[in-house]
Amino acid sequence: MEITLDKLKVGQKATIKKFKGENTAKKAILEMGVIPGETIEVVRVAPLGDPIDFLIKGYQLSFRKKSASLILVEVIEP
Amino acid sequence: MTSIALIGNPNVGKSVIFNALTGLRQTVANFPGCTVEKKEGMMTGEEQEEIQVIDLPGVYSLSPYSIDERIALDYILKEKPDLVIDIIDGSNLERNLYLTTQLLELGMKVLVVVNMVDLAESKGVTIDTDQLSKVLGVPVIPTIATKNDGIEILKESICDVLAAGLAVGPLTYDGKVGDAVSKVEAEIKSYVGTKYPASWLAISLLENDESTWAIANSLGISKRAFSKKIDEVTDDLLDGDGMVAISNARYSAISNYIRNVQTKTESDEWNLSDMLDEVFTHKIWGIPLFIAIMWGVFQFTFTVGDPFIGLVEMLFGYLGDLLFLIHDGAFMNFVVGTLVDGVGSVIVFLPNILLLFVAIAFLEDSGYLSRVAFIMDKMMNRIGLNGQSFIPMLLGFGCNVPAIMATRAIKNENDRMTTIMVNGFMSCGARLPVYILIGGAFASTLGSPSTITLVLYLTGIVVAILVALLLRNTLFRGEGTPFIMELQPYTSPTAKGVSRKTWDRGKMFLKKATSVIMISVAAIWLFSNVQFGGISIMEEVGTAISYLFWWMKTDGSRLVWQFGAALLFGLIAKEIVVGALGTTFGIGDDLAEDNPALQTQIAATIGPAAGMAFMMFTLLYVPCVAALGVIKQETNSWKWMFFNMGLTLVIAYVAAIIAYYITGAIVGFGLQAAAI
Repeated sequence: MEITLDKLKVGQKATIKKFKGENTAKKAILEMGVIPGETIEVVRVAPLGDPIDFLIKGYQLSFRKKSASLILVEVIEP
Repeated sequence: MTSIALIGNPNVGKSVIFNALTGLRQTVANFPGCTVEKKEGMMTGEEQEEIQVIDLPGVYSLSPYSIDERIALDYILKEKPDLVIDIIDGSNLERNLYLTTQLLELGMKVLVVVNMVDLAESKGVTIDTDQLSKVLGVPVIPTIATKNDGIEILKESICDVLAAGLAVGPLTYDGKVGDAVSKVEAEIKSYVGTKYPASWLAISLLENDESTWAIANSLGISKRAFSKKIDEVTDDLLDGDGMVAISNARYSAISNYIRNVQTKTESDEWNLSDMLDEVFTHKIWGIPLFIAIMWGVFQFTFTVGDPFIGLVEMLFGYLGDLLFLIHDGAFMNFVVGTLVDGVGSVIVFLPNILLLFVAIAFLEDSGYLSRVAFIMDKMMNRIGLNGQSFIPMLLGFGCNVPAIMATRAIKNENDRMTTIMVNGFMSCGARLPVYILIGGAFASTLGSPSTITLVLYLTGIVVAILVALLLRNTLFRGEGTPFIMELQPYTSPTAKGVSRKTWDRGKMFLKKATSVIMISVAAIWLFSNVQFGGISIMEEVGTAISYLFWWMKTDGSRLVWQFGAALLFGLIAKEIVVGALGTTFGIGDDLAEDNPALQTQIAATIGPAAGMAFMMFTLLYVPCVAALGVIKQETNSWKWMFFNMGLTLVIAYVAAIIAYYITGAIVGFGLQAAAI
C-alpha cells in the first residue's frame, strides 16, 4: 500500500519510494539519509501531534508532518 | 603556517578533540564577515613546529542551509587547510560518512577520526578502522576522546600525513550519476581551472544549489547559459531529480565502504534512552514534566545559590574593610563605595547565574534540550517560529547575550530575526535582583516576592509570544523553517563538559561585570556626587526620566528621581539597577545588611503600584548595552539594534501603565501603611 509518510502510524515501517514535489526541507531530509529504498519507522509523535520522530539508518530523526507529506512510502506489512 | 581544520556532525566530541590537540593554547575570534565563533588553537608538530588548528562549526553536510554550513564550506574552499580532520561518530557511521564523501569530492586531504568507539561497541557496532582506511583511501584513527584514548596516535598521524603530502583525487561516482557528472564536467572544465575540482562543481550544479551557482558564476559559468544543459543531463540520466540522485549516490557509495567495515548485532531490545523518551516525550506527561523540570531548575538555582551569595557578600565586605585599614580617606571612600561595593553588588548574583548555566548545560548535554525542541515545536510553529527557537529563548532566562548568540543554530533568517528581537523579553538573571528587592519591599501588600517574580517571568513570556506573532506577520513574514532535528540518545553529562560550557557562558557575564559595569558604577558615583547648584547631575537626569511617569498619582507614591536614574543605568546593565538605587538612596557600605535598609526606604517612598510599574518596566525595556551590542553584531545592522531599543521601550512603557493601574486597583496606590 502506497501512502505519504505523514500517514504512517506509530510502530509501522515503510520503504521510501519517492519525493513528490519540492520544498525547503527536501534537501536537508535527503542528506540525513531519508532516501528512496531506505526503510523508515515511526517511533513516536510529539505530545502536541507534530512533529514525528522517525527511525532511519539506525538513528532518530524528527521532522514535521508537512515535510513528511511530500514523501511517498510503501507500507511494510508486519 | 601549516593549518588543519576540525569538522564533524554536531555532538561527535569535536570540541573535546580540539581541546586535547591544542590544550590551553586557544583563541576565540569570529569568522570573517559574520559573528560565528571561530576557535583557533596551536599544536606542536614533531619538529616542534607550530600547527594552527581551526574548529569549524558542527554540521551534517556542506550544503549551505544555515550560516554554520556556509562558514564550513567557505572556509574549506577559500582557506584550503592543509588537512581536514573529519570526526565521525562510530555509532552512526553511515550518516556521519555523508560529510566525508562531500569532503572527498572536494579533493581535500582528509584524516578520519572515528570517535566514541566505546559507545558504538555498547550498541553492538564494531568497526574495522584499518579496512575503512583502505576503502576510503585516507587514514582512519579510532578514539575515545573523553578518555583521552587514541589522542597520541592521532597527533602522530596528523604529523605523518602532513609530512607525507599524499592526497587522494576528488571522489566521483559510478553509474548514471558518474556519467551525468562527467558530462557536466566536460562542459565546465575549461572555466574551472585549478581552484576547485571540476567534478565537485559538476556534482554541486547537478544538485541545483543556488549558492553553487554563485560560485559557478564567479568563474564565468552563468546560470542562463548552462542551466539548460544541466537540466537536460538531469532529465536524461537522473530521472529529473538531481538532488535525490546525488544523495542516493553518496549513500550507496557509503554502503559499499562500510560493507566489510562495520558489523552490527541488531537488537530490538529496549534501551534506557527509549525508556526515557517514553517518559519525557509522553503524550500527556511530556509537557507537564517539562514545566516541572523548569521549575526544578529555578529551585536549584536559587536554593543552592543562596548560601554562596552570603559568602560573596562577606568576601566583598571584608575586602572593603581591608582597604579602609590601608588608607582611610576620601579617595578610599570613592574606591570602596564604587568599585568594591559596586562590583560586589554584581558579582553577588554570579552564583545564581552560574548555577542556571550549570543546569542548562546539564540538560543540553544530557540530550533533553533537543527533546524540548521536539515537544515545543508545534507550539512555536503556531507563533510562526520553530522548536529550535525555544532553546535561545530558554537561555534568555540566564543571560540574553549568549542567548542571542545561540540563535545562530536557527536556519531560517526570518525565524532568527524574530527570535533575536523578542529575546530581551525573557527575564534574564540580572533582572531578578530587582524583583527581589522591590518585591521584598512590598511583600506585605503585594504578597510573596516569589509569586511576583513568577508573574513577571510569565508576563515576559506572554509579551515575547505576542510580539513574535506580530513580527512574524509583518516585518519578518515568510515561509517558516522546516524542523529537522536529530534526537540523539540520552547520555549522562560529564562534569568536564558541563563545567566547560558553564565557564564559557559565565565568562561573558563576568566580562560584562568587570568592564562595563565597573565603569558605569563609577559613573553613577560621580554623577551622584558632582553637583550643580546643590543638585547632582544624577538627580537632574533622574528627575527628567521620572517625568515620563507623570500619570502616576501625586500623593507621594509615585516614582521619584532615584528610580528614573536607576532606569537610566539599567540601560547599561540590569545588574546595576539595584546598585544605582542603593547609591541614590545613600545607602552603602555593608552589602549584607543594606538590602532591608534599602527596602524600607523604597517602601516609604513609592507605593506598591508604582513599584510594580517599575518592575514591569525593568522587565521589558532594553535588556542592556551588551545585548544591544550582540543584536548589532548578529543582525549586522544598526537599524535593527535601534529598532529593538524603540520596540522594547514602547512596550515597557505601555506595560508599566497597565501594571500600575491593575496593581493600584487591587492593593491601592498609596504608600504601604505598615512600612517595615
